[in-house]
Amino acid sequence: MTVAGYHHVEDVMGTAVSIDVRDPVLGTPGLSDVLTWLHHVDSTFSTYRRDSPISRLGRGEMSLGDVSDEVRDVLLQCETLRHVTDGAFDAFAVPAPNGTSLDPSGLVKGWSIERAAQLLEQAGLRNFCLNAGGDVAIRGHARTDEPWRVGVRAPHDVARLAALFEVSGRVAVATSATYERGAHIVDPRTGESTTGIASVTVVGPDLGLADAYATAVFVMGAEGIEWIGGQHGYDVLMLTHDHRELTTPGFTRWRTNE
Amino acid sequence: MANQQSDPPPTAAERALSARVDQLAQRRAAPSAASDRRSARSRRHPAARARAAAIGISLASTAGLTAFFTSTGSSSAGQLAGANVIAAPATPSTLGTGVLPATSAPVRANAVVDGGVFQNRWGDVQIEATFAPNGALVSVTALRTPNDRDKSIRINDAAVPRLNAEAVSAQSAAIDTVSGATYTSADYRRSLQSAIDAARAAHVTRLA
Repeated sequence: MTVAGYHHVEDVMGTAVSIDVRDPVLGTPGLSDVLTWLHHVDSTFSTYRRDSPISRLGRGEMSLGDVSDEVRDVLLQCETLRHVTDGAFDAFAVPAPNGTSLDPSGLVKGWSIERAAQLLEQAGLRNFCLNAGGDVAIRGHARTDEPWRVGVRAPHDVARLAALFEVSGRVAVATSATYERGAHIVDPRTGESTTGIASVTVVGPDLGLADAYATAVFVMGAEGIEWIGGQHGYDVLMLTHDHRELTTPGFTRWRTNE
Repeated sequence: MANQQSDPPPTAAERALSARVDQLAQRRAAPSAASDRRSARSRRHPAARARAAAIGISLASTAGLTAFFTSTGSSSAGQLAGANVIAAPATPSTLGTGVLPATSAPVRANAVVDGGVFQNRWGDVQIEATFAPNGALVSVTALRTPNDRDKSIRINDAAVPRLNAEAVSAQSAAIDTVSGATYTSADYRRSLQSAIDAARAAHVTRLA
């Protein structure tokens, strides 16, 4: 029997990953591939697991020559991002949960969900939404000819939405914020926690970049608005603690009337 | 001419990466007192719980739920007998799977199923799910949310309605998903999954 999609939530990578498929399907195509991939990413890149290659590299038990091409490619991307962001994103200069100062998580979550979206596409799916703890990868439509409606959580009130997008096609939405208890974002340039901004939401085509950009813009503060204007295809919504909204000029194209 | 193949010369990015990894080693050679403390007290990862869970919760099939709710459809809406006493795995690695029906079945009574109780740092989370006769998830109500601390009251009273909206998004066009994290979503989803499982298990029992 063909049904109008499936919805699965997986506890992996320290968060809840929601897989919401809206294509007519038989069974759950692509799901097992995605789950295998996400658990692989967790065991490879987790900074909470002592035995992950990333933890071992951070402690010096493995060298760059010992790690897989996949790990090296991610770290190379992190280095490229450090250059592009002028040090505001730096996987090598922030304290990691494993006690080292190597933490590529700011890229890995979005990057891995973007790859998961590709796996679903390879399984023939065209309309779905992946959400990993608030970082969202969209494909296609939510319903026939209807866009996906993506809310952005208000930083000071979990029940309220600060913004609502109506998006379709290939769209990523990533939010960096410090409203999680105990969470903080460290400025790799100073080693200090950043405090000026309540949340940063980046919208654009690729969730890996959107995730890393959101972290970088959070660290940059208001200057990040101008910076992301130079990153083609990406827009930002920045919310301050005093309830101001700062956005790139292109941001309105994503936004709907609330 | 070199008679031996050599690797291509490293790019600028590769050289920069090697330098960064070397810097990590230098930092380890002179660790700060703070980082010593941090590494000595390794923090627990939620994934450790997932790793401990040997049993993944299997998928709830629309066919199964449909068959079950059709078979009980003549009774009035109410608690599924026994479904609110749930032997959910304490640490499921899979939080929830629902299937959206393509076609609507004849309307019969809804079924109400309680999810398991899951604990987090801030207290218990338990939900009650209502399924339509065709197996679709109609609504989710919070039976228990963490409320034993002042801050938790504010956070979770607010969090649950938002999560309800997400869970029943198939029936509501309001919001499909939310960017930005929440506190109790994982526990909420675990409880919801156990409600779905309970409905399915009841179906299996009736067939046997």
